[in-house]
Amino acid sequence: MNYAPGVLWTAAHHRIPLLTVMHNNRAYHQEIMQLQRVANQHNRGVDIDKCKIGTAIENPNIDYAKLAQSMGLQAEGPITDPKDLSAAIRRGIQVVKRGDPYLIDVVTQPR
Amino acid sequence: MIVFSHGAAEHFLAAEFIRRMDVKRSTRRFSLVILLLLPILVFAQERGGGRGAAPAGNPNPPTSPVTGNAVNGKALYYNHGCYGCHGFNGETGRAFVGNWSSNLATEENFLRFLRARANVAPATPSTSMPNFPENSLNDKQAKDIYAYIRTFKSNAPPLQNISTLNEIVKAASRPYKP
Repeated sequence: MNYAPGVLWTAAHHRIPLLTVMHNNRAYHQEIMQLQRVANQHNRGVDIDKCKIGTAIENPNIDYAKLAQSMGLQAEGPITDPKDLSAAIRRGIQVVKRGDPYLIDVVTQPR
Repeated sequence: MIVFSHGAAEHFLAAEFIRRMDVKRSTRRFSLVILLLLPILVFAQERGGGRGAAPAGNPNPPTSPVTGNAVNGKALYYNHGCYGCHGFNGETGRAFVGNWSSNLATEENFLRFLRARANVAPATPSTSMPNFPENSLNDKQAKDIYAYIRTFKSNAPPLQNISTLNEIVKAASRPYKP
């Protein structure tokens, strides 16, 4: 989403009924886990703050709903409470049924 | 339907999605549904730690005494990456919940298990769980992690109880009319 947000514009431009549910873990978390893994394997212990250097995408958090809106999509988020997800998906489906794309930014556990 | 998925729980849901979608592929309801998982998530189930078939454990959780601090244990469980293979709630990957290993039966067993792991700094990448000696995880920290693990219990609702998911699957099985 960071590297090619223009695909959202394409969806809006061509009115592609596309529901995008973004699993946003706010990191290149595979890298974080690799650092944790290497530290564990070398019995070094883990300093999580150092693992986040260059890997975490936070402070500030990116507002992907606004990013999508800037490309002409209807969008919502960030969704941080699972209780809010069901209603968001329903709203998204309604928009997609009308023939337009929709993006839901869902914050997930970092895995 | 295109799904990019690497988290274990998400992967399971996505796989269930695809399985059901495939049955009705020719009659799918929506022209396109993309579940986009960004940024790239870890390949948890493909390359996680020691994902061979887990040995059969005890379906019931241990009842032995716990002396550690589960709050500290939670932070350690995250910082040491335990969640990468065992899930945030011990329910995914090499899960604990419902399959309690004898290594988790008591605090002493857990400590002995951590210290006795043989996989020390392997020359080639390994998916086995590394060992955790005193210098990277002292006894108190290990007991805190054990206390946190002991708080794990199943929270996952049965798939049929996830109403929105069922509605989507049902809608996807109806003939597509643009």
